[in-house]
Amino acid sequence: MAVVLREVEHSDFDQIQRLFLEVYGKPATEGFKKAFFDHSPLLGFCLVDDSLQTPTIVGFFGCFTYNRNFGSSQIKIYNTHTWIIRSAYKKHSLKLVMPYLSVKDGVLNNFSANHTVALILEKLKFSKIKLKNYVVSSGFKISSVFFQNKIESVPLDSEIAKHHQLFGAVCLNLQLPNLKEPLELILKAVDKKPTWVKSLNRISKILVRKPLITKSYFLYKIHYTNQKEALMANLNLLSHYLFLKNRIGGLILPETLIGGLPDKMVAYAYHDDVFFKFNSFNLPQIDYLYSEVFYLNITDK
Amino acid sequence: MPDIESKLKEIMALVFKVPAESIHASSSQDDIENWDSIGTIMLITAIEEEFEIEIEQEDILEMLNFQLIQMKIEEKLNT
Repeated sequence: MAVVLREVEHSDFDQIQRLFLEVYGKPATEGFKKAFFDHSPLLGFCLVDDSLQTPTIVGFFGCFTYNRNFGSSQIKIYNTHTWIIRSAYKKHSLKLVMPYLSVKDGVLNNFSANHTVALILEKLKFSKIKLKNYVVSSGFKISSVFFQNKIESVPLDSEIAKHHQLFGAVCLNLQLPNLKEPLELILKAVDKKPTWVKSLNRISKILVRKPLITKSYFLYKIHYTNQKEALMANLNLLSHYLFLKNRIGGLILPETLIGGLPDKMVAYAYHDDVFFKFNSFNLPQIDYLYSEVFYLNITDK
Repeated sequence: MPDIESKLKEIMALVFKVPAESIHASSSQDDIENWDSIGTIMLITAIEEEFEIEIEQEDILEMLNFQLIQMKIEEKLNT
């Protein structure tokens, strides 16, 4: 067993796909494939066993690299994701993270660390940041059901929405009757069911021994809006619109986007742990748009 | 510094759940079954606490076997 560490290339996709099948039991999503080919290096690092008859990728720690503008300055973002390794090669997995530590020309992040990865990243001096999320409590209002009909969906305008739509996000540009400019939203499903779905399923299981709603009506996190105040002022109306038009079961607002919600508007709150290695770069804000990985798999938190 | 050797053996025995007497100068990931990535991180944490030193990221890749780890600890304690 002789493993060699090297950078990932676009031509490695089929082998990485096989690794996904072997380790996760399912292939990478179409969104992942698109993101993989849409991004330029650095695409990550892989471990190759070159003692096998055909040299084979046995480990992968992926990265989507892109530049992001902050005012007049541009910062390179290394969005690390998907650290997988064949079980027989587990001992070598730390090698996959080490080359990232030599990256100094941008900000490294990881939004999808499990417990083990979190421990390792913390030890390697990544900064752990807790991002608070508020699950919005929006009750049924007959007036909102009526007025949501007046919301008009218009074509996407901004580059950021167009970019994220490609990776499976729900990107909307909505003209509300009381707003001068359309309201832009980028949302993504998380693996949390709304309370009302859970209640319905519980009752359904008692009556017909199976859940009534299983595959739709997830909670969606709002990752971006161009008008925070307008979003907050129209939250109930938008909840009804998104429920009826997009099968969105409920909304989650990150603290980084909104900055806190009044208690009466919060059903419950939870944290996501994210990891950053800033090197010498200062980021004016931290938000979920750094992580395209969020759009790749609904089981991501 | 004989104390380092015995302390390190004790730590590795505890972290990797192996008898201290089975650890020797060339003991590495190849012959200690539980020595994986998370084991390395736990080992480094334990070494930092026990010897009151700080191990840099760059050092981790050099800490490949018992002897090299011992040398790294000695180096850190002498600086």
